[in-house]
Amino acid sequence: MLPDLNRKSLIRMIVVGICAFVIFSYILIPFRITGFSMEPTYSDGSFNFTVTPYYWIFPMERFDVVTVRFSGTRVMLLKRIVAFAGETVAFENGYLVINGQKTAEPYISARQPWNLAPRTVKEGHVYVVGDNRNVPMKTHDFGQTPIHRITGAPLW
Amino acid sequence: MVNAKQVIFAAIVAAGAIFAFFMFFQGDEAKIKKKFHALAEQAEKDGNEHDLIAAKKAHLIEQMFFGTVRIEIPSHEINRSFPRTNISPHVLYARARYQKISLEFHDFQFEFPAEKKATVTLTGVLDAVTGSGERIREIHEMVSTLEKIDGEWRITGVSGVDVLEK
Repeated sequence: MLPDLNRKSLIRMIVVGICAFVIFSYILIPFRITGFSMEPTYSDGSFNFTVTPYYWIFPMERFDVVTVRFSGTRVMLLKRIVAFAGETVAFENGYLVINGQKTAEPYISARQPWNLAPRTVKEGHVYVVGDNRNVPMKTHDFGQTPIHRITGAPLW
Repeated sequence: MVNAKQVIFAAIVAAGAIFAFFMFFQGDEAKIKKKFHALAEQAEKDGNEHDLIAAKKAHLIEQMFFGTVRIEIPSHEINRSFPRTNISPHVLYARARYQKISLEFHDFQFEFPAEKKATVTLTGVLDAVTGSGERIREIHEMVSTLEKIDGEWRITGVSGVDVLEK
């Protein structure tokens, strides 16, 4: 038997529905990881949320993991910020080189000998790369992207 | 006091009304979305298919385009225009390279710069398995131009957007 609904519980249901819609559409956007670009930090098939207000509160820092949007937030990329505007980025034998300095990346478990000539990150952009460097460079999506495409940070 | 049965009945009626509205009074945005979903459906492939079916699908995809079609995908160094009638052989060739193809379009953003003209920004997700068994997953943001010809939206151009620039 269904419970009787009074006006108060109806309003409560509507408020909960609207809050859930707003939270999970705009603030904590759920996503499932497809692919191996962020191995070993994030695994294929794992589940997470993008916290969109994160960068309203905290500044972007090097090595932050972020979500990068395409034309919307239904499909996004999960990548790690490695450089900011004005910095030069290169890869030498698989090692990340920022402003001419080889940079330690403790989150990398294995690497292939990527080689990429130095390039400067444009104004209003950040340079993002996945953690899985144990794949040929040409098969890995990375590069500079406008900051406005960064939608937030993963919840965990 | 509102009875739960009354609420459920009202919800069913509302859902039916919304469904009927979208079925019978589709706006241009819904029609364009439907066009891309139909394109994705025709592009799909699951294992071997008969040549006649492949030809029919290529023909149906060709019908979704109009005039001289401009295709620009910088990441694949594609930048060319060709008449709609040349699309079918390209589609046949491209689909023949894969055993399996799954194509999805998401996150549509619409602009209507002039009457019977539309510009749509969308995200395409291609999941495919090549003839040699290699799995390919590509995601592209695209900007597509469309024109409304005889009441039907047809694609006149597609250009890729570089979200990441190496």
